[in-house]
Amino acid sequence: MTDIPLSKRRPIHGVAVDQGSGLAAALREARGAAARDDDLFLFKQLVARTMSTEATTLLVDAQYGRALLPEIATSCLPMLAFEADVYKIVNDDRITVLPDNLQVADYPALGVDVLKFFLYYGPNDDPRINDRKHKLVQQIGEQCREHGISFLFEPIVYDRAIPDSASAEFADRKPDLVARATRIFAQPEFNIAILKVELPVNLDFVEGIGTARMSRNDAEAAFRNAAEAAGDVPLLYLSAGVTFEQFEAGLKLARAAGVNMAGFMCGRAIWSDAIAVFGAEGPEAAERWMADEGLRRLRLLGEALA
Amino acid sequence: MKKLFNSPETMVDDMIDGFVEAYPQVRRGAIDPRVVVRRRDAKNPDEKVTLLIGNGAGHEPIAMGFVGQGLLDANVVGDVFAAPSADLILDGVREVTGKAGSILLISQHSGDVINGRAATMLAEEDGLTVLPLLMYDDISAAPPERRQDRRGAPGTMFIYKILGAAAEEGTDQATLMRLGEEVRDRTVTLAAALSPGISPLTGLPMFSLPDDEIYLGMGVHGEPGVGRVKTGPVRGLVVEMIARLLEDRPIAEGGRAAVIINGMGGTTQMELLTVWRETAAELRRRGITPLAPMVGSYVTTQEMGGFSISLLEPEDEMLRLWCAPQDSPAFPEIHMIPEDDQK
Repeated sequence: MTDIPLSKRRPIHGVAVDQGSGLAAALREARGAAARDDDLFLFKQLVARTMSTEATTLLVDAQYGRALLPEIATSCLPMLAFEADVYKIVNDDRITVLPDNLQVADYPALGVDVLKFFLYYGPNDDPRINDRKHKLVQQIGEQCREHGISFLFEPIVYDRAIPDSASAEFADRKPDLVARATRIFAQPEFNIAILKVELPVNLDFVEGIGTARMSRNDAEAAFRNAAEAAGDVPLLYLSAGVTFEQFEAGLKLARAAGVNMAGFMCGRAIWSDAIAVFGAEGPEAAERWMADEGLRRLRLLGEALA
Repeated sequence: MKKLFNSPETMVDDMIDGFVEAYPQVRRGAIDPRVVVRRRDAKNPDEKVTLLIGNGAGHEPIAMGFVGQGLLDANVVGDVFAAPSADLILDGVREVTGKAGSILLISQHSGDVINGRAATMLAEEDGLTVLPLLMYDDISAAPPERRQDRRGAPGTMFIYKILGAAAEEGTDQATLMRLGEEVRDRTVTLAAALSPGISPLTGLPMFSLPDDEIYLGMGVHGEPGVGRVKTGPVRGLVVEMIARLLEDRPIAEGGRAAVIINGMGGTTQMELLTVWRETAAELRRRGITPLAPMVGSYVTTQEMGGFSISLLEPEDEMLRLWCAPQDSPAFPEIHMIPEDDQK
């Protein structure tokens, strides 16, 4: 494993392949009758193998992490998620399910210096729910401090009053929600080394990228406002399911806004198109696609930051 | 991967369905079906302190197999290798807690501790008196001066059983907590892993190990241990493990040790009994009397090969409670070794 710590890595060109049951379902659908039990592992493995050659960090999940860590190039900093199944949240309070097969104390011996934890967070939620979420994040932060692990936290915002997160109404509300969540978790009691945050605008509604519901000036202001909310805590932008082209445009928008970002962490925007290749032509073709188009995308995102 | 499941989505509930139908001692919870609750001869929770624990599925028979008279009152079952949520644990607390209060046993793993503490706070807000008891015994996870950082391992079964028997006799909550802490402080465990279990979630081996090596101190999920040793006659391995256990927590010559030899799922009873034989012999060689053994596969990780040795230096009362009768689907009857056989 590499010995350059997270704090010395700027800009961060990260790739995430920590998705669980959602990715498994997409692969199953793409493979059809040829689906195999180990498709999810094979896909993660080929993403890790190809992308870690140029990515500065690579994020893997708790269930497959131990098997994937050896696939990560030595130049690339591994991050290990501390969730049982990321984004699969079944309870009404949207509290992330924790693994019981992975301890924070295990990270150093596994050669992993960075713990990533994801949580849905609604700034307008019942304060009792948010209080529980704050305590949860605080406890993970405390354990990270205790074991000398850098804590990367990823809040994804929502608002119960607007269930459709793709709607124009939610797009209007998003800059405020992201800024508020960022401001809260930038507080020192959470011991967060780096915040992995959504782009604070829905690009489908930004002038020049999608419909012009939000002007470019307003979008840039939203980026600046959310970044200011982070104070001294570095920000890493995540792609959160947008297309590659959108994410690239979003990073350029952040740069135009003058945001001092630590870098990006990109998952589906880089590799989601490889799922269809995996389904139609198999793992080897998907690996070739990743080594070609996947790396090209990673470089383009890097250039968008430059 | 060849495993006998219907689907990843239903594997835990299918298992619980089979479990509650197979054993009359247990039923599913009325508040939440992911809670397995004591059914036969259940006592009034206003008069008896109840005991419960939450854990991820995949390690059976622990802990749902230990729900029953003289043991646990409930087990909260999470998804495979996933800590049950605080809300789910709270449902378990609500199922069984009365005026006498309850004790939430927490085997020390990060997720279980975080969610267990949150559930305890939520239960307090509900007016329920539940106390969390952290359990840790794996000597490979931290040195003696940081024993509170150790993870929970099969030696925690001493706590389940001794507290379960004491609670059945009507012991109050505060006394049970003290007793649990005393048992914990007298228990040490060390594991030896031979081969990995296959995760039912991923279909992958959970760690890798050369054919001729044994991993000392590996946790039940393949967590890092203290080092590798070469395979050889099991006697040498047991002697080394006993030495490490007694170095960590010495038992004076003339002392006694209750013993658990736990198989991890893929090690035969033939092998485990051999391990017990060597353990008893080594303890006697050191002038320590082995007592009341529990030998079998109770804390498992699928088909993982290996075993652990747990030692408890018991007080007389602990020993009595360890051997007290119980009625659960999977905990064995514990018997004292006849004095004639202590040679």
